[in-house]
Amino acid sequence: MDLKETLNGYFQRTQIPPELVPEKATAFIKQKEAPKAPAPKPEPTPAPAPSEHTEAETDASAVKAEKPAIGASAFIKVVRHHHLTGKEFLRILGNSKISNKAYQEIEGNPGLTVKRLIEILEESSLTTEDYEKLIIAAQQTARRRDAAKEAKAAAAQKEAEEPAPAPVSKPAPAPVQPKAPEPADKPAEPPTQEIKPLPTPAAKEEAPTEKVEEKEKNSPESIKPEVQKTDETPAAEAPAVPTEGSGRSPVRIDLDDEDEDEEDDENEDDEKKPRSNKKLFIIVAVAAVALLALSFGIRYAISGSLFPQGESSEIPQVQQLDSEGIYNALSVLPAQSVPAFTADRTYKAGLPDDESLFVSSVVIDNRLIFMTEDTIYFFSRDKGELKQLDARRYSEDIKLLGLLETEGGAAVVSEYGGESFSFSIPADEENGVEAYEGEVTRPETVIELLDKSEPENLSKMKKYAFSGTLAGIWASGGRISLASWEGVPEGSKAAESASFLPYCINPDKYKAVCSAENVFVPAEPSCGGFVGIYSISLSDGKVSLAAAAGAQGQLVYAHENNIFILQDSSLIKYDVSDGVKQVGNASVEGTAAAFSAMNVSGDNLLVTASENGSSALSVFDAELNTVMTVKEVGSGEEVIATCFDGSSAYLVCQSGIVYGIDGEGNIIGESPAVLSKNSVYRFSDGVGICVSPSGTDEKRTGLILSSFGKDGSLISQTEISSKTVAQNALDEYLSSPAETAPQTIGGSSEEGIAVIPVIYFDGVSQVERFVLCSVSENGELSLAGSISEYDRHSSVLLAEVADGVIYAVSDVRVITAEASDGSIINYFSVTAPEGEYSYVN
Amino acid sequence: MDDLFIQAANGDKAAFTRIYESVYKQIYYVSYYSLANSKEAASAVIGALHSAYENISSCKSEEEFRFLLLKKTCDRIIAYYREYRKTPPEYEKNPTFIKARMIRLTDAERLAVTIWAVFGYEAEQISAVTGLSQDVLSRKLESGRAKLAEKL
Repeated sequence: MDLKETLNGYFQRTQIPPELVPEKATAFIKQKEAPKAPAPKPEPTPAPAPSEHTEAETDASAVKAEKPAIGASAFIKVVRHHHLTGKEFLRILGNSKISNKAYQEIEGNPGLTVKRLIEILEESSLTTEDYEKLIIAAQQTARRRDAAKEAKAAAAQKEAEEPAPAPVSKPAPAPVQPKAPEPADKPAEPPTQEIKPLPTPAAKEEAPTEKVEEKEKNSPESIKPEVQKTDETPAAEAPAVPTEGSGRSPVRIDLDDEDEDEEDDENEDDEKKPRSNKKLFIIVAVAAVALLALSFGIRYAISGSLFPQGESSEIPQVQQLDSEGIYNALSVLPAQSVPAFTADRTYKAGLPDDESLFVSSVVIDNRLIFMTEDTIYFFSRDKGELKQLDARRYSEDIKLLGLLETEGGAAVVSEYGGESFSFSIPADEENGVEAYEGEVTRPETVIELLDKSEPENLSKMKKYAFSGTLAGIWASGGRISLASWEGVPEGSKAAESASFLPYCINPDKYKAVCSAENVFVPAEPSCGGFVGIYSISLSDGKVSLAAAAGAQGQLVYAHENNIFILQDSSLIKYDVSDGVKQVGNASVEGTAAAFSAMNVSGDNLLVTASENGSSALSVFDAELNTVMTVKEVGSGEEVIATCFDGSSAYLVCQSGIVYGIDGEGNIIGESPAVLSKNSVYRFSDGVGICVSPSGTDEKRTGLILSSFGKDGSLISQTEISSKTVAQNALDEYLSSPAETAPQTIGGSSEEGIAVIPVIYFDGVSQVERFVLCSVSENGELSLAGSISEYDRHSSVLLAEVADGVIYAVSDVRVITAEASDGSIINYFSVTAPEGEYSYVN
Repeated sequence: MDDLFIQAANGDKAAFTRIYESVYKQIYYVSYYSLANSKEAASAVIGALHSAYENISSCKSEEEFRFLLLKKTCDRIIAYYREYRKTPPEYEKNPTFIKARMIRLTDAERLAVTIWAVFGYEAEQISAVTGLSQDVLSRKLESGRAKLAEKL
């Protein structure tokens, strides 16, 4: 049988998607009236010929002219007409039949031009009918928004006219009403710091268009609120007094903004904006007063006091329950799906820490280990010579998460659905308990600790299984510590603690269940689930565990030997230097939010949280005593991320405004560190490398390689180009996996070289190239050669540099080359395993 | 002009459906084995079908319409290829044996080989539907077939 027949034999067994079945696929055609004449055929047209097909026709943008009248353009017009926000737009789009790819491209590229946006929509699978629905949805959204605005305005107006309730004597944030009369009675303040007339609305009002930076840069005044350190200031001290006109200089970075699309709108739109913003901010300010009043009222009703009862009341109450008590408290609560645990790292101030905990390749002693999506490969290495020792393709039920570099070794981290656990509860007639036989299957996170000298040797590998889905993992101080999340398992019972409490199974298959005393349960749990904290000692293999239960909106963060969990308003600190010990807890200002993040700077821990429509920063010392709090930051703004630069925190808002808070609690007018969204490879302690495209989005002609200093400032740039002339639709489109996964860059600060994997089509072949770049101590870049492979299509492309040798890795072969000049040493084939590896058996 | 095509061109849904029925599986095979997953493949075919229907008046025969539909599908496949350069494609989790083999080919090789296998076109005709140069396609057909022959 020849190749063509063989292929067709396979092809014909392909399952056809139901939407392509003729009756369904042609449903969009509206039946016309029966034809009167033979055919309304125009003049005979020439048959399609090769010469007719131009480059332009192959381009996706060429397709749009053929779209029906109601299409992407019409939809975008409606969106722009109604001034829908980016969030509203994405929500509508997300509910449509748009492909994930197109949606993600739109969501991930906030700077898209309208033209490109329309192109993406037209390239997507949306039909005329879909666009009709989208337009209706856009109109409804606009109507709902307008109605809500009117209702809110009316309510706020009413509130403003009514006298404030007695407990409300705290100065309200008054962004556009700085001279609003302050309430007569000012109560004693808690030991917190408060910022003042907020910068956002004022800044926005002054500069309603995109071109706000210049103005802001020229007015660097900043707020210096009174910082009240708890160890210095008594709780009863008077509150900070708002400073008039302060805080008008938030830092601005290049952010996604739906306003960009509106920039080219007619002038009347621009004129309308300040007025509508002002109105909105007045509403927000008045609403804030009302909320503040309500919060004080509630506190008064509960505690009989308007304010916290001093330092001791800051510590959240916890419940000391036995395992049954924990079960009874949690099992009745809803268990949220796996929360996002880690802080949004989209924005960075200065040179970030390593972006990914996991790596795709590791060089240890005389071994090279790398992974593809589902397979781990082990090679022995002797300088530039390699030999494949083993390869393990993990079975379908196991999700390979990544490799973890440990001190001198490596670990493989994966997760799977877990094995079932059967249990039986004997009858207890005295207490009316009936005999019960149950079974639960709980997801597990698995760590396979590889032997340092023989990582490929399965008999020397140590396997640990931990209940729950991985939330965070860290390797330091001779230990691997991790946090996992799990809801109260279905089928579990209070009488069998092993059916619901976090557990660990060690290499000897011994199952240790977390004891009830080591479970932190807040006074009022809001969620039926646990965060398990585990720590493995690499020296003796012992595992310790603890857990925090019953809260939503969680965030985990590790620094050296400490793990911090932020859940709701509670902050819990664990020490993992010798086992897992809870060493403190405290209350943060506000509650955990999607933008929340933590950072240790010196002895202090900084935590950001959401607080009644604004944001707050809490700073704690090593014992979790409150050092200071900065409240009501960015009132009325939608904060989307936090980034830190030492003791300074930056709150990045959806609008493009950035609030910087320095170590003294002052709002910073200008950021001393450069904020960026780039994915940066940390080349050394003082130099980061980033890969970004050059040319237009449609026709990228190269890649820009940039180096950054510790403060994020640009040091050097050089361009990687294919240097081809475009002839085909696929030409000149360089890309690199390092654009989104910087860990695919191989680098050695000792050798002064970085290796960047690049892919492009050179007009004839698809090229996979490893570009060598010299990096000087001060971060200067210069191209130093390349290693190219033609007509390859690898699922993995990454590099490692060690001992003067470059390892250019794909899932087909590994090329070794001299780090000094890139000269090839040898080629080694990568052989995929035939069978599957499963740790279950 | 054949009656069926005249009826289809005049808006007869049943006639159009019959023409589509005669070619849609082949078109889908090209799309599916050229792209990363079935979702993208179906999306490319649906988009091409809408576009080709809008332009049916430019065709003189059923054969030309099929050619147009394939051409529109290839336009979309190449648009996806361009997207793949920006963000890596999402391949299906458990590909069939042949899908896994096809994934190992480069984009241009996959497109050339699938059209060659399904429609029996050689480089010149494939160039007509894809817009890629004939010279390049000759090489891609050769290298793609050689890679597949090794594994099948």
